[in-house]
Amino acid sequence: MRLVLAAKKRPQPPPYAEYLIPISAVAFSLAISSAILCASGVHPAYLFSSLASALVDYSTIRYAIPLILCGVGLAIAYKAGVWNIGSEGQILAGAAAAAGLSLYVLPKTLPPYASIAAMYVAGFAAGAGLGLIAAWLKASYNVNEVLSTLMLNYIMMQLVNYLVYGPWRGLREYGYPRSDVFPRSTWIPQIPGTTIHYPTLALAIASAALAYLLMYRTRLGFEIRVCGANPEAARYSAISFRRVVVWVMLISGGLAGLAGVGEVAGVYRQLIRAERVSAGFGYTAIIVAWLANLNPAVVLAAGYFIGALISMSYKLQIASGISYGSINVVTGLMLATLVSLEFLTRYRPVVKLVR
Amino acid sequence: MIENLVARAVIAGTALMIAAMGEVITERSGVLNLGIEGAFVFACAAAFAATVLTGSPLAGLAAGCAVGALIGALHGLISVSLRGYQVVSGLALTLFGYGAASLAGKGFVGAPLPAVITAEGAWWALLAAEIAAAAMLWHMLFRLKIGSVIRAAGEDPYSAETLGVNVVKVRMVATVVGSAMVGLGGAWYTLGYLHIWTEGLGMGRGWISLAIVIVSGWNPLLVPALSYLFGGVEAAIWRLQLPPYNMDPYLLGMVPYVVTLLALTAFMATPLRRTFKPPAALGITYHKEERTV
Repeated sequence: MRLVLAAKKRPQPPPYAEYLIPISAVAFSLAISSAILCASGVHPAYLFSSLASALVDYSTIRYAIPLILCGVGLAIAYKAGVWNIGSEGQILAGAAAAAGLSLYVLPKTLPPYASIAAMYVAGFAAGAGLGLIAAWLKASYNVNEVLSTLMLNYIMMQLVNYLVYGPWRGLREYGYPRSDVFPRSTWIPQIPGTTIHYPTLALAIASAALAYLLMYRTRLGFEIRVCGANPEAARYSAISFRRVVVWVMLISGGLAGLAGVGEVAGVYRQLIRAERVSAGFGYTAIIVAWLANLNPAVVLAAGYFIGALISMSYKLQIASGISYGSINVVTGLMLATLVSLEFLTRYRPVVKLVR
Repeated sequence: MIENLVARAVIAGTALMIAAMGEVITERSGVLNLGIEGAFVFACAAAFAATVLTGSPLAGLAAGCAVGALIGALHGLISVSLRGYQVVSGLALTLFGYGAASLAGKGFVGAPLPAVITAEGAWWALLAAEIAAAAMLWHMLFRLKIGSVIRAAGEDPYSAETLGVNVVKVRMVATVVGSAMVGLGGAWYTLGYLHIWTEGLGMGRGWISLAIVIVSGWNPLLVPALSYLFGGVEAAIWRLQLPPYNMDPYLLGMVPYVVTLLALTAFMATPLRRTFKPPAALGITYHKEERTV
């Protein structure tokens, strides 16, 4: 006879799981990472005081903007069971569209609000277009969207680098791989003294609110949720999965495209190397979406929190020589913990006596 | 010069090939390991650090294997034992691998390697050994019982279980072993090919290995040729941008990803599907207690 730890299926996820899981995932990953970072020479007290000060720093909002835009879109896609991991490429598509429009298309005499609106529209369309490639392949030929969006990320990355090293390289940039600075009429305004480009911030907050209404107040939102929760039931009730795939890829791609517009026209004011434009926001937004339990409204808070982690990691790099990339230990562990703990919402651990 | 280029293609391709072979084993069992990228990058850093510390490249290869196995074990724990989403778990571990590489390699940037593996003179021996290894892996997967067991877990785990296959165990072992091979590939990438380490080294190479797996149609026999091709693109990219070729390195760098996207589509949309389609249960969590889907 021996004792065995087994798992018993729960009929319903427990009500407290919604709050307890993200909180314990954050606590667990921070605890483990602070131990790992401690071994690398960063005192935990210093780590946590840096995090605390990042939580009330303006730069956190600057990082939260792209994370929220991408995170809202991904929350919708994942709720439908569509694994879009192509935000990174969709950001770049939006950024490239905005840069092209700003540098070569829009007349400098156009009033700024019209130029900026045009860039947002073009960026949304470019991101959505890239998303729709994957959606079309999925809907028509059942091509795995994880793999297609991943490949599209790298195709876009090479394309943007081709542009900044090649045809779009700035004439006044002394040979650096970046475009010329955008004309002033296409600069997205910032709150003075900060790098917060507030029109994009407003779009991010509006997208979270609209996405919440879409998911819980409309027919399409209902269909999206059914497709993700029970594909069989969706099929029997004549919900078109193809339609849902197209919609969620269009929305999530478009929102990531908006994030790209904000990065180049609101922060850098020129197109720079791909790795610096998207800067991993597209992948980090996956964590934002899961940390928010795929609820678009909660994405606002989750995006702000992860934004603080990013802001903290840039400060740690300057202060203690721990490279910026090390933050991925924290975020990676957080996502791993989130997806592991989900097991506990679906199964109750029980100790059994086995003969 | 041409021979030198072929040698570089084989040596660069070796890293991709070992990783891709590992991922073939894992994916044939039905587990999509997107941690491949993190395991590769982490292994680059760990192998380099271990070689600098011990002076032995063998210790470096072992360290690469070990961190690969660690990532694989975590992926198995989360996505097989705890039945978490394979895609999310893999991506989480890739992020973790990126961060762990930054930490493990801190202080080793620009350090000289005490000993390197030089295979330029013996690239043909490497080539022969790798083709033999590919043939052996194919034989294992398609002619031996263990191969049927692995493929059964990846094609139809519920039927496999009724026929006495321990799907959870098979997937677990295939994930750890496959990921250890990914780590070995990463170790080779820095110790056998580049001989340096900097922050971010190896990023994207894990995905190229994943791309090779897809384009091969999950068939080990096609993995070496594709690895040398994709490795060759990488080795030749800087030479091809000089005259007389004048090719753009970024457009050239796009080629492997475009080819993969086209292959992925062709394998689903055309009659090629019969030979090259992905394992039917790839990426789908196996729930033991549910007899029907």
